[in-house]
Amino acid sequence: MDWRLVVDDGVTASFGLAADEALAARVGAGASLPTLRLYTYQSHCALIGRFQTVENEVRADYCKANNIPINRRPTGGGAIIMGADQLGVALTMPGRGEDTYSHARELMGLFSEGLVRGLNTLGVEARFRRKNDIEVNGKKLVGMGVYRAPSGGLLFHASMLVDLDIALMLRVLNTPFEKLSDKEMDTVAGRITTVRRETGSPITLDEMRLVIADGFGSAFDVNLISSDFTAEERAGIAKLEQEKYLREDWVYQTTAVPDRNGSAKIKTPAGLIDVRVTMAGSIIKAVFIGGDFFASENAVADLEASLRWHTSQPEKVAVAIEKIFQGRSAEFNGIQSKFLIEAVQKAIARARAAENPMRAEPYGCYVNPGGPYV
Amino acid sequence: MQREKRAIPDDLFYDRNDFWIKVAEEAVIGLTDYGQGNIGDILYLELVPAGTVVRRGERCGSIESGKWVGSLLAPVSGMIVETNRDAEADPHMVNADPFGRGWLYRIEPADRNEIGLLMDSGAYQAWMEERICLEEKNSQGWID
Repeated sequence: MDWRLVVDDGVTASFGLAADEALAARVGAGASLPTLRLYTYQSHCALIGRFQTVENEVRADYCKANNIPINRRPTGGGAIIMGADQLGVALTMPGRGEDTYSHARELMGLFSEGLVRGLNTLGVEARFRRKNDIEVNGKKLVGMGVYRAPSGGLLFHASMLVDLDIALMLRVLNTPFEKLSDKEMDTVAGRITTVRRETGSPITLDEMRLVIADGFGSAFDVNLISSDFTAEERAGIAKLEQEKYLREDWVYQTTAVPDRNGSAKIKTPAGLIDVRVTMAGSIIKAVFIGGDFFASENAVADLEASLRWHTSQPEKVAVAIEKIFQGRSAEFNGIQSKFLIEAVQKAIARARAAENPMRAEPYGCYVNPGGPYV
Repeated sequence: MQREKRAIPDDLFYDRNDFWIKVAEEAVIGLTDYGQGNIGDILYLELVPAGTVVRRGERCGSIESGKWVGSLLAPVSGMIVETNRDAEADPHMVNADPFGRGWLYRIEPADRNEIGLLMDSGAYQAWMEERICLEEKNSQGWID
C-alpha cells in the first residue's frame, strides 16, 4: 500500500494545526490519501490540549512579550512548546465505519510502534507507555494524541523532542513550581529527555525524519511516496485556519471542568515528601513528587507517569503506587510506599476540597438520581 | 480474558456509535455502558448549545478520555433542547452512571422515521458482541 509523505518546516501554529485537522477530515471522507506528515513549527509556539484553558497552562504575558503564539490542538493532553527542534508527526488515516474507537486503539499501537522502531535504529531504547507517551528509562521523549474527525478520519499526532530548551519551556508553560531555580530545572530535566541527549549526537531534523519514515514504513508495511499538499487541500487548510485556528474564540475557550490543585507534605524517617496534584474533574491530570528524600529520578518519574490520567479513587491510587514499588522499591531508597500513598491521597483530597461546592439543586427534572435511567 | 458485563436496558434504542436513545415526545440521548467503557475515563465533555439543530450523523459535541478526542455524532436529526450541564462539569458521571445521571442531551426529533433505523436492545447486544470479538482478534496488546 502507498501512503503520502509530506514534509514541511517552520509552519505557523495556526497552519500546522489546521493542516492536521483538515487532512483528517479529508482522509476520513475519502478525499485525500492516508498521509504521514513530518513537520516543524516556527520557533516557538505554545500549544495547549483540546480542552485545556490557556490561563491555566500558559504564561500568556510572557508569550505576548516574546511573540510566542498560543493555540489549541484538536488532540487532547497537556500543553507543549513546539519549534525547530521538536518534530511534529501527524498520521491521518480513514476510520473503519462506526467501529472507530477500538480501531483507533489498535492503530495507536502501530503508530507508537512506527516511532519506537525509528528511535531504535538510532540506538534509543524507547518504549510505549500507557496511555500516550513514549519514554526512555522512564523519561518522556514523545507525547501522543488521537483525534477522530466527524468524517471518521483519524489523526494520530506526536511531538518528538529532538532537542528542547527546558528553560524556555518553563518560562512559557505554567508549572507547579513557585520559582524557577536550578533545582527545579534539574527536576524537569530528570523527567524528560531528547533524542540528542540519548544519542549523544547533534542529529538533524532531516536525519530524524528519515529514520521515523522508515519506522512507519516497516510498522505499517507501507511505501511512503514524497508528496505535497494539493491545491484543494491547501484551500481547505486556509479555510479552516481562518474559521477556527486564527480565531480567539477557539484558542481562548474555557471548559466546564475546572482544574483543581492540591498539595501535601509528609515528614517520614527517610525525608520529606512533597506532592502536588492537578485534577481535571475526578481524574488526575498531573502529579509532581518532590522533597528531600533520596530516590532514583527514573523511579519517581515512573511513579508520576503511572498516575497521570489515572482515576483519583483512593484505593486505585494505592494499587497503582504499590505496583510501581513492586520490583523497584530499592530505587526509592528507604521511602515506604505507605507514605507516598498517604501523601498522594492527601493532595488529591485537598484538590477535591478546593472547589467542591455543595450541590444545592437536583440534577435536573429529567433525571432521577439513583434511578436506573432517565 | 474476563470481559466486563455491560448493561443494555430493554426499553431503549441504540445506534452504532454506542449511543442510547430513550424515545418519548422528545428523545434523551446518552452513551451506552459499553460505549463509555470503550472510550475509558472521560475527562472532558462539550456539547453544542441548546437550540442547535443537528442532522443524523452530524457532530453535536466532543469528548476527551486520556488523550483521545472524538466527536459525538447525533443518532437522530432534530433540535437539541437541553444539554446535561452537570455531566459537562463532571464528565465522570457518564462513566459512573451512563443510563442515569450521565445522560447527554435531549433532542426534539425532526423525523420520527429515523427511529426505525436504530437498533433494539437485542440487535445492539449482537452488534456489541461482534465488535468485542473483532477487538480480541485484532488486539495489539493495547489494554486500558
